[in-house]
Amino acid sequence: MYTREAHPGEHVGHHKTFADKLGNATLLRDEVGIRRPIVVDDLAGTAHRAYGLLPNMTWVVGRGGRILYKADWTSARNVEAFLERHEQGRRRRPASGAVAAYVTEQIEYRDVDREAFYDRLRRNGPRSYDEFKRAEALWRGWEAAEADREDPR
Amino acid sequence: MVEDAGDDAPDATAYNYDRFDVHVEDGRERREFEAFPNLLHAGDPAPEIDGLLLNTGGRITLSHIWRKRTVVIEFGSFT
Repeated sequence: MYTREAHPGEHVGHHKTFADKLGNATLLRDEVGIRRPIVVDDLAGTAHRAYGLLPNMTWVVGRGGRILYKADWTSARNVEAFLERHEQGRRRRPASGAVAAYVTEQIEYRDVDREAFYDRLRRNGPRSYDEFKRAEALWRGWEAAEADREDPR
Repeated sequence: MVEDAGDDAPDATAYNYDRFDVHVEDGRERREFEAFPNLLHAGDPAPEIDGLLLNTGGRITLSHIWRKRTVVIEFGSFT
């Protein structure tokens, strides 16, 4: 699902028109080499808003339209493991009788390559990198202020 | 060129922010992450999606796909 641009810059800007959005979606497909079908949201982000506005979340929807998996970030390895586990669980027929669905909530870990991410920001344009570094400083300042409030000594 | 009714949507300008640091500074990024855990859960009906399929230029709905098979939806952008 192609959304708004998360870190626009001089080379790849934010969308002012739907034509901009189609152009950047085409760039994503052709430059990154995405072979999966890309669905482009409308300019106002109607689908993105309905699912939570985060930049790289993944959802799995089962046959019949029920949500099976919700993640605030994407790990292909984790999604693949979930799909295998879900399908095996659904098809299992234990000697005791049937299986029953239940819901879990977990903390997972994904790989992070900060330098590669910074390189991609520079590819978007120099200001994309500068703006992210300023955002990091803001996050650090807020975390420090929060720590001070929790432990003012 | 494919047209889209969203071009004139009043929320489109705020949604398509130009500066990430301003998006963070004004608290929108934080509010979006804080809202996510309480929005939709496993077991809930999935919201319908009506979008444009990039490779064909045609419209597609998510329900059209989930009637036939399980669907993995990754949200993302170029940047």
